[in-house]
Amino acid sequence: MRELPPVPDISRDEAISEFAKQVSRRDRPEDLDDSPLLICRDFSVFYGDVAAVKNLSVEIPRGEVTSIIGPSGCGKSTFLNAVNRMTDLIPGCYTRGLIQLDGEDISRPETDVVWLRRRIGMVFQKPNPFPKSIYANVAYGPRLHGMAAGRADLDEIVESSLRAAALWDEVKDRLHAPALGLSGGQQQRLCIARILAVEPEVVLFDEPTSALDPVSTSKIEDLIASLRGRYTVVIVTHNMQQAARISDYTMFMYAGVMVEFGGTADMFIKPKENRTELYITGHFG
Amino acid sequence: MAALLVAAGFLGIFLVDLIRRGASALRQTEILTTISYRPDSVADPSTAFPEDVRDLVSHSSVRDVSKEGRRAEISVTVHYDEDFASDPASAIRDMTLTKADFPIFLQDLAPLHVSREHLLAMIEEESLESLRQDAEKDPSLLGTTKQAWLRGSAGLQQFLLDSTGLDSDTRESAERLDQAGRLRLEFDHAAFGDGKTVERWVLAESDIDQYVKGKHSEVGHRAETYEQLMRAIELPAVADPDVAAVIAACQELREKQVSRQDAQPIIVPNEEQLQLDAQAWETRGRIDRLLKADQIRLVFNHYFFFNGDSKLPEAAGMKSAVVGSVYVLTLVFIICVPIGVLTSIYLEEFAPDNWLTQVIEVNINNLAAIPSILFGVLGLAALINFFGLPRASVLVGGATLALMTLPIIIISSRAALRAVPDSIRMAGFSMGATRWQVVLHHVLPASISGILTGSILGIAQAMGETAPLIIVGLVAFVPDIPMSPSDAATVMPAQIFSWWEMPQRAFEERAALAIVLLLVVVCALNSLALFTRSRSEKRW
Repeated sequence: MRELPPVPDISRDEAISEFAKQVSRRDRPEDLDDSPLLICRDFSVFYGDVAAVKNLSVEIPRGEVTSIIGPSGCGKSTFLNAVNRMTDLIPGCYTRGLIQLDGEDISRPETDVVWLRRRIGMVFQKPNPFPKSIYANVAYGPRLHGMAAGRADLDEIVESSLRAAALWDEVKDRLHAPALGLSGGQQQRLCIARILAVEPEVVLFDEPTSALDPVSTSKIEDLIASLRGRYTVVIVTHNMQQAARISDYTMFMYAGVMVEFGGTADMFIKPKENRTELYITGHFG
Repeated sequence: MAALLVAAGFLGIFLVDLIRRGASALRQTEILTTISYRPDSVADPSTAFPEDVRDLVSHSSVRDVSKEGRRAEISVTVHYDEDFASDPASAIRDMTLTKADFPIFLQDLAPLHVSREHLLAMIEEESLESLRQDAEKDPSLLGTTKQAWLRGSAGLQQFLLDSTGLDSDTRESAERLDQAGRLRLEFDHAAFGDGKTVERWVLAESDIDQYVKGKHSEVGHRAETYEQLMRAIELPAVADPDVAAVIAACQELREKQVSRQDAQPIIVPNEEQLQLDAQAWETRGRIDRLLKADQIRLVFNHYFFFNGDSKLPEAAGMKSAVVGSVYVLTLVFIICVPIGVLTSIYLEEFAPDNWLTQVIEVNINNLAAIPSILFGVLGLAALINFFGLPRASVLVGGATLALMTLPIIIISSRAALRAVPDSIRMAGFSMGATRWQVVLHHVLPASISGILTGSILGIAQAMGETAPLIIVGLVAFVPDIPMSPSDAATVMPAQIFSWWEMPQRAFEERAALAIVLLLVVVCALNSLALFTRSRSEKRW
């Protein structure tokens, strides 16, 4: 079990220096394509007449962890859901503007969402494993997309995905036990393993630790950090320390508008916008 | 709480009353008697029984004697061919009957051509074999033809006894052959020789049965009346009283009582009454003697479970109704479950939320609340009058009940689907599953037991439904089990309904027992639903 970082004092200067320390500790992956993986241009999401996300333009860097912070109801989860088109499932919800994944427009109605969601996986706030066995949960995606040539191949995918999600050692003896018998944190890691099994390019996390205890939270954070480089990660979080600990870039949203986007260290140490500063120092939100 | 206790109390009273009435139907009176199968007794079957029990046995036993004692025969031309020795069936060829073969009043019908296959279906194989043996003994027969009465097949036997058996084509030919006098029922010499007497337990008549069980019976009541009367006029009770003397004595006594201003002066019987009462007294005495001699016994009433319906209460059973119920409910299940589940999947998972789906939804909810008899009227108007399905059939009954059950199944299936948390659907979608895949892989497996529970409850309701079936004719008198969907059928509640209407007292206990049986089946179905529901409780 990893030792938890000390909870910083609320006083502003100390908090900032604490974040700065954590941010600067991080290694940057080398050989990365510098072009951004996800590009949004004037992207808006509407629920009926109400715009939940307004004219958002941002470039999400490839292979890095980007966190989205902001007060409740600022549209950050909506934006995340719009990226892999889960918003299509909500009646009366539609989008304007453009999102490109590696240069391909994925916001058009004719985009194959099945193909898209395979490339952009999503982990939800509450762990939601299928009410099946652990093995069946992980094997579901590869089976669905016909990725495994045979039983042995599938076993291998399941094992490597569970290893990548740091769950293998805990469940290797009971792969065929029901997934709902796992603890909350284990269930969440299982959901991550399930996504990794279909080899996506982007993994979206929608407040993945808000329903978990601190120990499970730190495990998930380690896991997300380990995904850096192989996957592009976008994580929505309420917890600014979490954003500081695990992300390379941070995007601050407020009332449906992106207020600021930048390197996490810069953002937490010297935010450009006054509203960002007020938010990260706990004056509102 | 008080309301619950009152309800439980009434339920208890109901059950106790039912079981009290129905329990006696579990036993049935049988009489030990000799039956002599002789050519003349088979023609007039009641003479097969000895005189002292002839009026005690059930008419169904009497009927059985004429059925068992006779054998169907068919008159055909036998051709002794060259092939005959190896294949005796070759002796039978297609047969054509001309107008002249029919009685005068049927001669305007077309001439009859009966194919070899139909004839062979009506002839017992063994009788062909015996023809072959004849030809072996007497080789000069080869190459000749002769007209002969051959033993009929089991199917033909059934056809001649109660117009069932044989397939429908053959049956048509058989009907015409019968008109031409080519079929007959003859005393079964093969089984009984020139006459044979057997000893057997047979069903007693229902009034005798009621008397033996200690219930109200006509024979018991009349005998009692007669005894009281004779005691009052101080004459010995005899089987053959001097009617005029008894009536005169009664009148004398009555005048005396009236002049004394007695509260209840004796009622003077008429001649006919008196004779009937005396007869009953004699019969009762005979029954008591037979009982003492162990020639009358009460046994487990297997007739109730293994006989079809009958107008004779002692021979009436639930079998045709149970089989009818099984057929009808199977049909309901086959129609309702696929359509209901697919509809609810569409409405829950696929349908856009617009005015059309809302109208559909409101209508489905309303349909579930409509009085069931209206579905009967709908079935009558649409299925029978418009589509021309045969009335009283399994098909019409099943389809009518299906109309009634469908909304119930749709509503419960939708509830089961809705109980599956959205997070499961989201998980499926986020893995790149299509809507159908999400439904098939995740939503249906998670809700299947809920759907089954609802379906079973719907079926259980259909099982107890009577009103719509009365409208489409499923209260018909059905002594035989239905063999095809278009055959007339009845179901358990309808059977109870028709028995309850019958005038004979013995039907009352049978109806009560039938209600108990129905309750047991419905309770079993509901327990099954509870069981599947308890197994379906899942943590999310």
